[in-house]
Amino acid sequence: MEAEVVIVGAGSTGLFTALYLTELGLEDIILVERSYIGSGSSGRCAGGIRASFSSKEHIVLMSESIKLWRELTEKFPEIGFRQKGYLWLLTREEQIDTSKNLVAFQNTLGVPTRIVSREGIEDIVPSIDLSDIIAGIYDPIAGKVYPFDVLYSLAHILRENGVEILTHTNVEEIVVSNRRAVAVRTSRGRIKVKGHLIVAAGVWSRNLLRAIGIDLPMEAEVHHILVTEEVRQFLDPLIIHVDTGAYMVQDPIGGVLMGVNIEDSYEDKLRADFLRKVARIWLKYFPQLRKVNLLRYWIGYYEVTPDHHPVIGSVPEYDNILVATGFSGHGFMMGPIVGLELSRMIIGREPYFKETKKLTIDRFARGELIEEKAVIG
Amino acid sequence: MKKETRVVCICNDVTLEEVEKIIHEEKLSDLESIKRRLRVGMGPCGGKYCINLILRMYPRLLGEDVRGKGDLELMVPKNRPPVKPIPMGLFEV
Repeated sequence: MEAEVVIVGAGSTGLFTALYLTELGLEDIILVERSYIGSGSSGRCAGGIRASFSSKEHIVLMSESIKLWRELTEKFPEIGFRQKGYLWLLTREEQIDTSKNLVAFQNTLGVPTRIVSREGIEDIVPSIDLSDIIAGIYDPIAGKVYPFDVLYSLAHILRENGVEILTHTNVEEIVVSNRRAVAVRTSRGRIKVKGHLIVAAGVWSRNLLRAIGIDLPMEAEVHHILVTEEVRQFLDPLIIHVDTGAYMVQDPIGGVLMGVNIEDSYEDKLRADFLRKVARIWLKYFPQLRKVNLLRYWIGYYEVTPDHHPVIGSVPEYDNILVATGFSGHGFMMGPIVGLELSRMIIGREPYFKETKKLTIDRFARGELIEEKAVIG
Repeated sequence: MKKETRVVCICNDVTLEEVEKIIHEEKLSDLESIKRRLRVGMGPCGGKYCINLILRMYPRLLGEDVRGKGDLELMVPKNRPPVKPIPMGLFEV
């Protein structure tokens, strides 16, 4: 087997990259996925999409990503991006001052977030019991998708276009020679890389790259998430409890997804204290959910870099390897813009945005970290 | 209304014909993907009925064009806890 472009990982990043490559007329692509499509972090996320971040890089790139999510949904309705907003709930006075600065910064970059009063919150989420909430930040351009609708419709579109997606195929080694990736050795044989190799394997990228001498400062963080049984649609935006970083969002089927960060979560084990913490936070504001059943609880990974920004682009050690990982919990939502930028790099063009160029791996060695504070869940 | 009504997943109302269509038209032949694409086994039963049912019909469902792709496709999808749905309020205490 051989392909012009070999992509390790069939998650959001890999699939969107392949999609934009096919739009450029490049269809000789093989995606290699160790398990099923979206089995890494993409299929485990809550499906929230926002540009209301604290760094210019995230705000600019995610604003573009949202445009692409809308565009793609117009073209392929099954992608199903629904622009229902994000609502950040504030419970302490000092959060309001910080929020005003953040909102002002986001506004200068074109993201129309705004502070809303208690009454304003009730207008957006009529079913909420306001309790100790004093105000909120509303991001009207944010939205949500159902991750598997996105992943499987992308896979279907790609396969129709002749792109090969090998599932249950593990990349065991990247074979390199003379500053080039020449092949990948997989559990189902060798695949020759004619042009470029893209490593978009989430947390699994680190060991693959380490074996060929690329040191990626990235840690796997275990995050916990649950979904309830289906209930009538009652919640438009994804909501965030700023004090704890807990989030809650209703999927298109009616299930309510909830997540919150818990202490010392390094092992991929389920934890009763997660269920207690997330229930205590959200049932206070939505007591009507007490009788609603918990349906499933699972974990997923954030592949976290020291500055909570991804690594996108070429690596100094090799001429034909591109890396896209380290999204620190935001990889699914960034998929479209990352895919678009990587497709540009593959055909030898500059990325569209200077913010993308700042996200190369050498920033760690140069000590030029970018900071992102608005990491939730 | 659905023309055929051989329901394999009673929680999410998925028919056998839908499963066959996904296998042959979208080339998704592993149960993990079929589960997530059609939401078979993602309802309140947690896959206890539907996944077993599909598993038993699997060799016939796969047919010629996707047969012999290896035993990995036969992996039974992971069951997510809880085994039986329980009210959220129980965790609040």
